[in-house]
Amino acid sequence: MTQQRYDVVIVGAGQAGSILAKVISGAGRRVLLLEAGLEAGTDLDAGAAYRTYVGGYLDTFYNASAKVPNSPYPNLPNAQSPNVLNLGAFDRSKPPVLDDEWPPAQDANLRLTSGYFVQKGQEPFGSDYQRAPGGTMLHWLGTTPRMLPNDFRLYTTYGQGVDWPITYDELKPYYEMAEREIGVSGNVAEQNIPGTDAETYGHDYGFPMRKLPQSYLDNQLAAGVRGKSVSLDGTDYELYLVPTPQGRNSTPDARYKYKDSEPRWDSRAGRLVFQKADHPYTPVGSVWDPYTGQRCEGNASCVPICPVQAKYNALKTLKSAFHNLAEHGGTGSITVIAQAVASKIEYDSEGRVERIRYRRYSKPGEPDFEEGVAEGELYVLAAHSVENAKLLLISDACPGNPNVGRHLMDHTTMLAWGLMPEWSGSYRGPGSTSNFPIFRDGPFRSRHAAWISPVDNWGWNWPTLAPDADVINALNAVGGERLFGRRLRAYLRDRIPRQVNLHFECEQLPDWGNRVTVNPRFRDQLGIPRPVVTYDMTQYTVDAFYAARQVARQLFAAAGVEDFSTYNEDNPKSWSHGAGHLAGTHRMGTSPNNSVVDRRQRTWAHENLYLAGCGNMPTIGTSNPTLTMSALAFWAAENILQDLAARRREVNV
Amino acid sequence: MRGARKGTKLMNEVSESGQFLEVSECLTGFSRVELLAAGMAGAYESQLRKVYGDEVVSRLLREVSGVVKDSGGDEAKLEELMLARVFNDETVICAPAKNLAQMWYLGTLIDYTDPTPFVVFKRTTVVSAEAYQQSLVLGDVGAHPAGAKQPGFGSWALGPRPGPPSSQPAPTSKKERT
Repeated sequence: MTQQRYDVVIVGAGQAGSILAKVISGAGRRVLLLEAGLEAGTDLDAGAAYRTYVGGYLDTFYNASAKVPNSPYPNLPNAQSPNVLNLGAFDRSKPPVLDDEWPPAQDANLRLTSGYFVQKGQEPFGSDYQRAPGGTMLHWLGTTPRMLPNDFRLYTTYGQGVDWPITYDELKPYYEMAEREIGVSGNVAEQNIPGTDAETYGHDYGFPMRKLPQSYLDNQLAAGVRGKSVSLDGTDYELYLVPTPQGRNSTPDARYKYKDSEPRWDSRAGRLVFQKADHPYTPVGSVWDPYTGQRCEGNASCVPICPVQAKYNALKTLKSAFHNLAEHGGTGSITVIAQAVASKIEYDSEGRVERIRYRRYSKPGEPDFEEGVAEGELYVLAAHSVENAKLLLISDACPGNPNVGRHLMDHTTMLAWGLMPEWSGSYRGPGSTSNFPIFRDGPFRSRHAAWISPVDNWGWNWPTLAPDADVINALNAVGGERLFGRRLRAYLRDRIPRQVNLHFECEQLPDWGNRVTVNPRFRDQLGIPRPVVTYDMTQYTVDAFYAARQVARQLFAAAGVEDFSTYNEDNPKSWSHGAGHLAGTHRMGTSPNNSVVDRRQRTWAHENLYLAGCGNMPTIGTSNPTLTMSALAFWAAENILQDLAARRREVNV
Repeated sequence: MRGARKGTKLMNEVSESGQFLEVSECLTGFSRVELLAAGMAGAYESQLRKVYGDEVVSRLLREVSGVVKDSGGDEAKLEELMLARVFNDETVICAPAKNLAQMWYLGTLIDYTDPTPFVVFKRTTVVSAEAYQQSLVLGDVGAHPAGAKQPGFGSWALGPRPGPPSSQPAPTSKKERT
């Protein structure tokens, strides 16, 4: 059988992979997309997409006893995903194994081996991701703040972490592309964030859709803190909330300057440009029905699943990619091979990637597979920050580069929860509609981490598993007297709608010791090594927790919130919850000594291998990373198209 | 006679489920109308019988009915008798009583025979997708089960709905039933 050769081979049909496939195929190129998840999830015809998503994922969610982020989606033995439920097995009684290798005798002493991740570090790594068509975007919350200008020059400004090899201003046009693709709702004028000014978004810029209404809880809290301040290290900070930009459908804004146009490759200009458009922006509905999901309907289940797909996910981008190809014709194409788990990158003596091998399974539960080979001119790994690092390590790609798999970051998230003085309507609306931006930037960043502080609209669900825990504990007399009947009902009515939870999502710096490795002794069902994670937090993070607690106490007091937060005082690192913002494992930089990819997202070691996704981010600031990662995917797509054009010219000469 | 047997069985189901609803009212604090509106009485009664057997469930229903009767409409007395005779870990009807209330509130039940340490979701079973969607806890506070019964764009910005039923606890029926 003759192996078809593609212009670009992309591993992973998640957010980055879908954007890359759309832009590159839209420029007339032939794209192959390898996806580890189930084939059913890639069928975006109306009937099939409805069956998979509503009949499958949503129903599984309803039936899941623990409605954790991965709960609606298939947990595939052949393409496992890490699951937060496995963290319960992290065994602190065993010593951490901090060196890179360990003798076989110590296998039994590893702190966590059940589930997909093997964990051996000081602290459990508490975040998951999803290996499925659409990727982890299926269960993202939908929060889309941009990173701040100082986030790109953290070392220069505050002497911490590293600078990015690109600036905020350089990334800005790609942020606009990402906001168009995702469909961001928000109000630019209200983004009063430290370290920004009117130029940050730009005078003439607005989001495609108007801001989502802020929750009743947000407004109660805002009224409670109005005119009040908190004090930290001798500085007073005025308390205020801003509406959070979000990737979920709201009312279209007629003033949106790009209207319904999309960024497309302009071969003469050699870059991506928004086409001229006459029609106003229209929200993008669900993949099975364009009239479903035109507005957020308040399902209050964004994580793990939006039942109507008013919340953006990567499948929408993939669907529109196919739509564009059908509409505009031309030479571009996207071929998807699903149930194909990339297993090895092979490259020649000059470092040129020759092929990517994959193992394609025919039945989800069974380990039988056929070996396949994908060949193209250029290759992109867009399989997730951990999966990309894993594949590079398995393949001994980027040989000798010690940065591969290093600098694993997350937003270390401390929670603070309490009861509002009055009924506040908790458990309604998108997961979060407002945030306290006060500590996102400032001189304190030279001493401790910055954080963003979203208001959680879903009560104590995250910190205590409420409301289930409230009911079950009351019936079982846990933490108080036994309640049933009318008294139970009255208790729940009083308590549940007053529950408020604040996140303190702290920036984690790129630490050399936080890393992903592989060890041939730990393999998945297809025989592919599983990720081995070593993780810890530094004093920079812990000091942010202490500072955040001071702020939380003062903020709650100002708003009349009764504090119910409890913390293990013996180990402040245990206050951290994983935010699912895995980043940094193959970061970009200025040389192979400090990074895996260059500023154009291309590996230093392999001239035809690009990496995409949050793994490229040198730091994560205080922004949920999806928007920035999407902007970087547009930037990578543009660079790849320039690269392809240059190669074509060489051939023609 | 086939027809007669069927008729008898139907009568029994109606009468049992009448008692089932009376007991559910007492355990949950929701009124019969609210419980009927959830449409889950039959499913929860069969689930309970499946897990605990007819004998234990009948005993639970008898005991709670007896307590309601013996309390004579006195709230304090009802509380005291329920804690002594039903919500008492010494008795076999305690676990099914807790689970019956939990099913109405959450659509889930817990395996109390599982000896592993108590974690809210670990020994929990969702009765069905429908049970989750009909769980009462969040609807009773002006919200709705996450991912179901969505109230519409912008609804989350609105304040509390005035008046009953969301502002007052439901009254317990004082009427005796046989």
